[in-house]
Amino acid sequence: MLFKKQSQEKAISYAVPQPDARLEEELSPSLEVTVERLRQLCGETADLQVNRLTVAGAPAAFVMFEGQVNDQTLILGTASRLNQAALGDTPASRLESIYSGLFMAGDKKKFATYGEFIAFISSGFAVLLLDGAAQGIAFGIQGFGFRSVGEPSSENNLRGSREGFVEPIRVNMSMIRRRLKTPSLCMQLLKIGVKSQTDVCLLYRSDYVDKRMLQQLQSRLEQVQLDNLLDSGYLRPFLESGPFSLFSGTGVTERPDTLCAKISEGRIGILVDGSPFAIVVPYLFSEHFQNMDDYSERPYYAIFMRLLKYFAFFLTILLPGTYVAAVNFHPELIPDELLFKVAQAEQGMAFPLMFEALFIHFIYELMREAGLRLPRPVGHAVSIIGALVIGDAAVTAGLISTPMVMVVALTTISSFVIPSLYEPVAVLRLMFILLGGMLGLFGMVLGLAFVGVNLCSVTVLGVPATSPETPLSIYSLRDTLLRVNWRELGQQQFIISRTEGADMGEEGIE
Amino acid sequence: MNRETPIVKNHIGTLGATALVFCCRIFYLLTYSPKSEEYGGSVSMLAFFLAGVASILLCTVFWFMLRRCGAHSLPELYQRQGRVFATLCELAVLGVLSGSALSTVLNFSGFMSSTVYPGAGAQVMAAAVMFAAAYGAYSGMEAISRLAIPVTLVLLIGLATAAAGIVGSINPVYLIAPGPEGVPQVLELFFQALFHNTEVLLFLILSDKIREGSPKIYAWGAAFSMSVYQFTILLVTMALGPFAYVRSYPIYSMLAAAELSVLTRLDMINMVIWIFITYIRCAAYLYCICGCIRRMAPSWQRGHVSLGVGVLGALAGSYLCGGLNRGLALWELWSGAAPFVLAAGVLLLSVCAALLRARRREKE
Repeated sequence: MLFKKQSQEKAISYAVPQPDARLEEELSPSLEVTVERLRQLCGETADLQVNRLTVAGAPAAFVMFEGQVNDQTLILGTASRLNQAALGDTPASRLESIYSGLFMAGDKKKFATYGEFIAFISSGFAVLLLDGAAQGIAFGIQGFGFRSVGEPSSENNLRGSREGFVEPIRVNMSMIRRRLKTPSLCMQLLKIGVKSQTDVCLLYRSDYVDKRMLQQLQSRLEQVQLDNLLDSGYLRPFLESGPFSLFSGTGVTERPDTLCAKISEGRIGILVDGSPFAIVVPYLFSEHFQNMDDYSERPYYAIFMRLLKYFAFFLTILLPGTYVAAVNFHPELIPDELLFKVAQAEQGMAFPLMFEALFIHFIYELMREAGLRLPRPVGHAVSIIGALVIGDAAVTAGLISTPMVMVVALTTISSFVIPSLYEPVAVLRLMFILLGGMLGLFGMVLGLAFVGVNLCSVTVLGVPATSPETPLSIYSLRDTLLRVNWRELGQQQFIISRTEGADMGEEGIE
Repeated sequence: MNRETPIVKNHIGTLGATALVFCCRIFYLLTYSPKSEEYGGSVSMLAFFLAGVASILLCTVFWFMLRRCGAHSLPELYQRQGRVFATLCELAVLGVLSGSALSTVLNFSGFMSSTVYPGAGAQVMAAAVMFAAAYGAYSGMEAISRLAIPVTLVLLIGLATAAAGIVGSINPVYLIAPGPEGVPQVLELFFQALFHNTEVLLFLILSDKIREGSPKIYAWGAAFSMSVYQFTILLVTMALGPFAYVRSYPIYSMLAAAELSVLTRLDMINMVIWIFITYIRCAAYLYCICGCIRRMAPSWQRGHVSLGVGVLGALAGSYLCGGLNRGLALWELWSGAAPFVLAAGVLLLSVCAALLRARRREKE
């Protein structure tokens, strides 16, 4: 009996998100019935505001959620005009004349179901209901507070725009439209999330986008089964390759100029209401090593910086493992002078080298996580405690050797050069330490082959993430490993397109 | 509602396929050894060149025979001959592919445990390679062929570095033409190199997955690998001279002796390259093995088959590497005519059966 009850509870708690059938109900012609039903559907919520008024002698009401609507616009732009206007005789004709002629709200819509009603008032619309009309009019006069447009926190640039995305989707859409003044820029709005009904916007250039790629993406988004969509990160797994892939075929950006550049290469951008990060599909591996500054700087410097980033990537994943492997299995690789010093430093250490490396990386990840989640001033304090107190004490206590501290410092600094790859880098670093410690350089190289094949298997919407390096397109290399002059780059626009048959289908991960 | 257009076939890019053929064919360069003066550099160069040309001819002939039967690949041809015939042929192919995969691991583990890690357990290496390659097989041939492109580039850079490091020790006097008395040795090495080659079979299994799959791709890969063979053997012969005959792995010895400015350990470059090459060759064969099994048992899932093949491969590899006699038995079988006879036999049998059936139908 006990088991039966538990299994029932489990089934309920893991139920597949289902749409609420009550939201399909249509509005009643009676204002009172409609308002009462709305209150019931919203669970007698305290922030539902119903402002009653009389329009052409009949009862009416403005319905909204508290704090979502700009009160000044509501009073001056809409409510005060209602009493001055000459309206029709029947409720339906009154509603029509209000909708078609009376107000010049930027965004106004007629609706007839409770689902739409709740969606509108939740998005900051004020809804006008007239007694006798089984429809409502929603006015887009949002007035909710949001973070102002500021500098992106995760993608700092020396030159270029200082604007970053904010949480409201409309503001983000306007930032893109302002930059790309072309009629081919399409913005397609969708609602995702069975309960949250979050606005999602697909952005693409109709003249550049691959139609099959777009169709594939749209169908994937339609199949998303989520109860609530609260961040763009929720959507990425639905667009990516298989779950076992370390690398993603999608990217995120906080910068409108970056998104504009990506869209102008035939990619598709996805904005999610409430998230300041836009998703870019498909996202090539080489793009992790690019930033907007590359295009503002002199080409030779941009090339130098890109090569430096590739070097940093390999350094950050391979250095600790190589150090462990070289000291344990291949001391002949280390110059004698250095080997002598390393041996001296390692003498009397409490743990074997591999555990020492794992331990210090584990401590580092702990400190990083603590520093990230805590309030900024406390986060700084954690870093200082970590670096000075724990680091110094661990070396003095003989838990970590000084060369290992240097290796870790170099490794972590290198990882900051490519922040978008931090997730795979953190895992790979530990994997290579284990491989280097157990199998030496043989294990490391085998691990590198494993990572290589894993990366090569990532294909999103028919575009291999490793292109244009492999499959090789020599012409496209001009803006991957290299960055040629704008005079040459501008001559021919780079457009991303599907590699026919590269969908992996039955055979591959995707 | 928009629906995704289902795409059921993979297409390996032409460059990727060429790089794959190159990587698979170049593997035996790792263990190249002239053994004695009669089989010295120029004899090997000539024999390997002839063997390469012969394999290109074989591939072309078989490919045209396949096309004559209306098939684009060997598995497609088998399927057309009925289930029993297809299963028998698939089993024979499975045997050839398994032997090739195991001999690859055996060779590699032997090399590693005798040179880079003297005294280390070859079993662990064999098992590790097999497991990692099984993941490659799971990832698909497209991923493996894409990886083959940078690996080919790394190999070429590595060889160029080695050549630059050894250039000071080169002495052309060691290069002696074989002459008429060297013909038997050339023929012996020619057949040995040809028999070793199961890449023709691999290519014909994969040909329908290759974009614009034609023998041209195999020819490019084979020609490229032949050139690298020629170049490397030339280097070894001229740099090591008679010393090459007494070394088990003369290429490794050559790289250990090479020095380039601050780089004093070029043998490590050699190690890195050969681990990658072994991985690609093993993964390609395991992928085809998984394909064979799945064609015989279509309900088995790809992930499970790859895992099973990985586990069995690791166990077999470890077992063979565990004792000298066990490994030698397979090596002797595989360095003889067995793989060639099996591969060519399977190819000929199936193609002839298909042609006969087609002719019978025409008569009817």
